[in-house]
Amino acid sequence: MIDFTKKAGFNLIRRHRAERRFQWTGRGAIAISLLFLLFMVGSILRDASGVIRQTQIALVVDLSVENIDPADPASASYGGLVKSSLRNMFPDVTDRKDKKRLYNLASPEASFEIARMVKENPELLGTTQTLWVTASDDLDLYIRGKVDVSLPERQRRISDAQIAWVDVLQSSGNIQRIANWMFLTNGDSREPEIAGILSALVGSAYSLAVCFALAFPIGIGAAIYLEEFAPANRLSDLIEVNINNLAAVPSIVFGLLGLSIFLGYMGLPRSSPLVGGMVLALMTLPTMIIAARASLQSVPPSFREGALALGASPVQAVFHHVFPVALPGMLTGAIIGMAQALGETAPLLMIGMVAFIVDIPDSILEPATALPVQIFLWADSPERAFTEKTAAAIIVLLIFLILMNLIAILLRRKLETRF
Amino acid sequence: MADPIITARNVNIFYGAAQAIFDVDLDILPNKVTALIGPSGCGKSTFLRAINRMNDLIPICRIEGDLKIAGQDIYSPSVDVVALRAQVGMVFQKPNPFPKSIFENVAYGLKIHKLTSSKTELQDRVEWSLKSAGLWSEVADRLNQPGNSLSGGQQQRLCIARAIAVEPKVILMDEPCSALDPIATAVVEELIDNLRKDYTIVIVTHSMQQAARISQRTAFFHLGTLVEFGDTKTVFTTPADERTQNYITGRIG
Amino acid sequence: MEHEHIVTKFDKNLDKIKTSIVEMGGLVGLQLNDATAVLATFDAAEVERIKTYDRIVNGLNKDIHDRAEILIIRRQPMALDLRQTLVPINIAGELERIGDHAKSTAKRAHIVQGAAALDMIGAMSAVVQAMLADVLRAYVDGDIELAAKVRKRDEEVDALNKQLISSVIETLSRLPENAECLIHITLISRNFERIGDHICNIARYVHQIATGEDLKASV
Repeated sequence: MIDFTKKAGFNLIRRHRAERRFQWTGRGAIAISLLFLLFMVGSILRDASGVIRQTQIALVVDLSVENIDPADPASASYGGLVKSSLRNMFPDVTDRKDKKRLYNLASPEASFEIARMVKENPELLGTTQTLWVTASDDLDLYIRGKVDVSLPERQRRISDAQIAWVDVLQSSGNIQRIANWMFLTNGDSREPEIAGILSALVGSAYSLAVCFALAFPIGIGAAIYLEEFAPANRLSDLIEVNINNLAAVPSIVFGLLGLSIFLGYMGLPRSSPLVGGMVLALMTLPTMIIAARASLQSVPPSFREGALALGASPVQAVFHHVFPVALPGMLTGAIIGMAQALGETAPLLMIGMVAFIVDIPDSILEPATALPVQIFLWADSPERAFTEKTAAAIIVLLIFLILMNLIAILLRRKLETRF
Repeated sequence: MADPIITARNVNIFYGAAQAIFDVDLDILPNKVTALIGPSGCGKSTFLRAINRMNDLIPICRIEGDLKIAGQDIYSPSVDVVALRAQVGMVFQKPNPFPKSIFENVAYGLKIHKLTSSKTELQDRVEWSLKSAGLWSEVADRLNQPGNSLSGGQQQRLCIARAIAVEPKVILMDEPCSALDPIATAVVEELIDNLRKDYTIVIVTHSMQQAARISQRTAFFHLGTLVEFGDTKTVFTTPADERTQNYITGRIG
Repeated sequence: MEHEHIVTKFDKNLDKIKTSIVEMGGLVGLQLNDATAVLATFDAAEVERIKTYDRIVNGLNKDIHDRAEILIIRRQPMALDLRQTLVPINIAGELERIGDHAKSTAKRAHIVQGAAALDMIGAMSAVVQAMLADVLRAYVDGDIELAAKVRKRDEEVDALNKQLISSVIETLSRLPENAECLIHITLISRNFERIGDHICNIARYVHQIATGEDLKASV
């Protein structure tokens, strides 16, 4: 009789086993890759957690007219004010070396912060105020318990004396921790406690805008011509092969090209997002062309035929019917290319976008740096606190990337037509 | 008998080195349905697509001989293929409405050729075309819905409406019912018979019954040659050529 | 027909119609033969048996109709196939009528026993039987030349009929008391003459199947 429950025949036991084996292998592979991903994101998040808050130190500053000329507050020596304030808090410190250590508790930025406060609130002049200023990175690390005090004094960045002062300050409520917005609003700095990502973020955004504005229309134009109009001859084949090859060329080569042509020959401003965007556009073009062509190829030829049979000219057929259908796919390709460009460091190094830029660029012609370059720079810095900045910058880069993809998905959903 | 509207003389069509059509002489009469039948690869579709120069899209395709529509050699260098295709419409095997609304599908040809001067005229023409295609009553209340939301048979009638909107002289149909169910096929066949009053229709079909039902003239192609051409009734009852007989009766020829 | 259909069942269906026609023709031929025999030596039981042929022939006629119907529904025959499907229905009709004439002949057997003209009736019967056999062969082979010969041979039957009628008229004036027998002889002769015409029609149908040309309409 027929028995559909029997497992013995048709080699079924072995076949089912093989199937299960394969499924478990697949699940294992996914689990391992998820684990790696979790580990990576986790470690970055852990490293970056320190950036969320910053440490401030309260200084009693004498803003009397002897110290600050009301007519010209900017000329005053705010550095001296910070120092004297610290000295007043610990009057028994006399040794020159100890004094220097004492001054190091506050960030070098503290004096500028006081100057800014005075400028914004002129009524402070002539009074004595308790002002919160940024503490140094070493103090910050100590407060957060990142300094191993069991180590010999010489092997750590914060001395026993400093630790004692900080403890006094902390017990008297003169140290506080607040949300660190400076990381998002400041430019780069030599001092990790005040170094921010904004200049790199803006630089990257400018570069990508230039890159998109150049590569997208050129790429799509090239793709449409090659796919729809170019005669099928050896020249077209040659161009196609070369485009495919270009997509695989190391990005640094494009950097060199940009260096010699855009900077050397055309004399465009060095380190500017304009040149950076142009170089990235060069690099992204092949990817975009290939993606756009694939997207055009996937449009059913029946639309083209239908339009042509109605008497549409080839250009009309392409732009009225083929292009709108292919556009979402082209956008996807463009975003992939842009994401690649966003993470690119090497070509930007070649055109000088590696420079130390404190100011936030106002236009695409001003020197700027880019997120990956900033990450590279910080990762290279000796200060312990920059490790955290690096991790935080990576997160910013990832968020930027996710945002870009999100925009792409939303755009595609809006443009996509069912057929 | 009226003068033929399409005349083919010694037409040879090549794909690269391979010849697809050999010395075809064919006269197509106006306001008649002419069916092109024959086994797959016999060249009937190639010949059909030569009539509105859709073969131009295939770079290796080459045509020799005389193919005239209303006395004009359509392969003469002075002929603008866009103008030709505006006069010689085409309906394809698979319904291919554009990914646009029903209205836009029909209005497209009118728009690109600037055949209407006002918006109301455009609307009227679209309505007229849809009515001629027997689709108006089914889509009148949903002109703004996408063309591909219709059923297969409705899509094909939409494509026919799209083709007749620009009022061509000739409508070429390449197996228009092969993707449709029998009911939709019957509706399209009825439509084709009605359209005959105003247009000349050349139709490629694999269904002998369909050719017999809707055409007045039938041409049988075999291996790239025109084997037999005559009144449909004669071809399907007493074909002159044994190859035709073998094909239409389903014999191994 | 050198070429076979791609669908082999198609050929089988067509062959079945052909076989039914041949069977029916054979039966009618037998009926004719028996009816002629019973004219010479009357046997009431034999006459009754000859009458029963009719039912079988009618059954075969219905068979042919059914087969043609099914074939049209299933295969939508075209051209030659269409004629091979439709025309046998007419042939079956003709054969049925031949059968009727044979029956009518047999029914008159008891009246015409020993009549002198039976020799000529026998001759006519021989001719139509040969014609029937020939026309069936022509039908099976699609042989239009043989069919033409069959049509030609009908003249023999017509001549024999004429000859018989004039001889009957002549005898009638001599032996008026034999009138009843002579009238029946005439009717039998007429039966055979009609049978010849039906066979002629079948021959025309054979021609129509092969060529599509309808001789009745064109001549």
